[in-house]
Amino acid sequence: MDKNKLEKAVKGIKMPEETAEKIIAKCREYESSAADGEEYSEQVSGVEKAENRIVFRLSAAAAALAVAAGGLGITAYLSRRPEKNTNHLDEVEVDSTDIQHFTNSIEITEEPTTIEISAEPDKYSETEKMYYSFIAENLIPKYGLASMEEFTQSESDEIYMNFVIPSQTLGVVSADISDYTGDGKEDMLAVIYDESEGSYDWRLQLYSCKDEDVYMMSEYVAYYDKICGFNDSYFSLQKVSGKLVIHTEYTPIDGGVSDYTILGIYENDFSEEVKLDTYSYGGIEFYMSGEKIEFDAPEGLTEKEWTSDYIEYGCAEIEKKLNELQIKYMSLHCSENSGLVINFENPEQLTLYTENDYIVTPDDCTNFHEYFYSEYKETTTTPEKINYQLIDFEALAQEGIPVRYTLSDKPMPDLTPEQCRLLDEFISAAADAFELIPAESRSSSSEPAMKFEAVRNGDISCYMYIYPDDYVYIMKEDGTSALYCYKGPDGYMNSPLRTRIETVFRNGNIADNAAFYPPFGNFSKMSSEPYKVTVFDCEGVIHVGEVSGEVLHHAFYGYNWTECEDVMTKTEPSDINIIRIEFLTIDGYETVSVDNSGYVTWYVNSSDTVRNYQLNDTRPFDMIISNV
Amino acid sequence: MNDTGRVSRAVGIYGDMLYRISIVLLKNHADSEDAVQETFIKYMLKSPDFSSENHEKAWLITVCTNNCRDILRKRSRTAEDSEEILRNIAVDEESHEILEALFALPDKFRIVMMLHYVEGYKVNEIAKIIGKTSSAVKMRLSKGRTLLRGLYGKEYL
Repeated sequence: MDKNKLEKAVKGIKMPEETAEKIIAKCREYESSAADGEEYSEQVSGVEKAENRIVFRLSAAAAALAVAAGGLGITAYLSRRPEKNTNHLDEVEVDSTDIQHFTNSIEITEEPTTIEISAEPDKYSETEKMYYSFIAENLIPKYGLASMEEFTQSESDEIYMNFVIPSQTLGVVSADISDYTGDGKEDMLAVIYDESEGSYDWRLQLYSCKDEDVYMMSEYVAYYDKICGFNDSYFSLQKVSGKLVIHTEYTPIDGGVSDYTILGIYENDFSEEVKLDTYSYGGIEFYMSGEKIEFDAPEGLTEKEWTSDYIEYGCAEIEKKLNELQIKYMSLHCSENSGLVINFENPEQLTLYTENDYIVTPDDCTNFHEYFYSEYKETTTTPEKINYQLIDFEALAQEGIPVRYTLSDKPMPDLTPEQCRLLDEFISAAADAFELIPAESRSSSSEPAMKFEAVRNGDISCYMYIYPDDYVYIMKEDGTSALYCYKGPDGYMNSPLRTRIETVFRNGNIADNAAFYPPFGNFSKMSSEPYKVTVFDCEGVIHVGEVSGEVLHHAFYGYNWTECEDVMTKTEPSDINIIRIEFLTIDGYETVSVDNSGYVTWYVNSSDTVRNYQLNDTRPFDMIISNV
Repeated sequence: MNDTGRVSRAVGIYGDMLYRISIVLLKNHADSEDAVQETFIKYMLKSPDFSSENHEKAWLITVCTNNCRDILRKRSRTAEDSEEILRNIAVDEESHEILEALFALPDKFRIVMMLHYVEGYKVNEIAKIIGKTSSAVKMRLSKGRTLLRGLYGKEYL
């Protein structure tokens, strides 16, 4: 039996003809009553009426209209909805002229513009009008409007918004006017989907107003790093007992990252109270989707709705409950600064609760991981298998065609034939990890980080550009071009192609040992074995260190120096790239960092530097991670 | 085209699909009829400008499944006797067995199974429609398959 049988069985179900007739008759009835001057919406049974909380959303169409016209452009739709149930939006279309009498400061600059609103315009307070004007005059011109097509309602009563990100356009997404600060006055929480060079950002901005001025009190940014394979991401925001609960999730191919953040608002400022990260690189540690964790306690399964518990009882109570339940956890950090962070010791001792009643066991985690891969293959568009020589730089070099190499706008000496050979070797070794993607999928407008250009008869005849987010653009001599995504040897990993290639070509030299760190395929696996890190330079081994605790998870990062200044103590030029390997151990984090100016630093929990080493010179290094 | 004409067209194209989604979720003909009717009334009153047929279809499914959820929450009617409704909707004995197993799945598995295996939606599309993460949809599909295999007692999917 196959899925066709299910399809056949279900598709055999037909709507009775009389039901179809009834529906059409009902619609006809509505239409004719509307012709008599009655409002459709008043007749819709079961549609809830406006309550005293306001959430409005904005549509891209109206924004475009407003922006194009240089006008203020109120939102495409405003809707009131009840606080306890957001599944229905009670929207009544009103003509644009109707809106003007409750908000004089908003001009409708082009017809036809409609605003959908569920309540009488007169019910909007002066404060609300001020906020609306502020959005129209300030936020929309600054950020634009996000498309609402991606908006999805949730079955959860208090869901405030719920997005699947990839095709989400940037801009103002939503805003909520209510008293967030507890002073009895209406504040405004604006939510904006924004983009910066290295990340997609969800901006939560809290506004208040005084007299006729609207001003921002606080901003919180939940961000996703831009990574190749950023194809499956999610953001939701809920209000739970007066707190904001953010759930973000993204799923690179090798697993998923899901985190929950609870924000409180104190002294007119966002305060991050709880952040629970779950991740599943390689062998999954654990996965969570939902707000509850079900602990596999000795006396049986005990369900804990951790967000509510935390809000109700505070951090110490959570710790106490975990201990009472004999839940083994690796660490629990509870402080004003870091909030609550629970790192569970081992998935074998933990059962996670995902969706209402579905329990994730460790076996499920393994199955899920396997399933994830197979499912991904089904759902990802992969137009063709890449089996090619992107550009045969070696052949060009042999022909006497110079190949230029530019690193972040810094021209380097032309590559030698040997360097071209090594480049080809690297690219073909990594070719399986390339995926041809449609050009429009390119999401970043940044400049290439690396350029390889072949010059024939004085003109650039073909080139390969590598962007910071691991997109590779190829223009061949025959005029064909293609855009590729580099997804790493085992799927979408945080293993930047650019950084790897830079390792080979750093400072125009080529590493003798271009066996990149860590060895492909072994890196993302969890292991209870101790790890050692060896760094080589031209003089041989200069450092061997062991990670002190049992490694639960580790990750590789290539960073620009400026991003790490806060955790490093040295002052160096800002254009130095560093390589960082982070180990999550039972005792915390240990990180080994190597930069190409010759420093090796080993530190724990991002602050306590335990070892410092200096390479003999600044020639390229190689770094090997292996089990002891 | 007037509103009724628009609805008539949509009923013709999507009526069966929405009805089968409703019947699989609600297991009750009267409730399903209500869910579908409410969907088309909202379609007439509130639907946005659709950018494509796929957009229109997804919108209808989202509204319909939301309606079904509301009905499940507020349910006054009980589900019909499964055997009776199966007799009415199954086209043959094999379909009867399959639908019986499908009906025995919890609600949340039924909808993702339906959308994926019957309506042909991809995981990320289902996630958008039902407002869950793709990972959650994947897990539901995985679990749903396992459950269905157990319930149907045969190799399946």
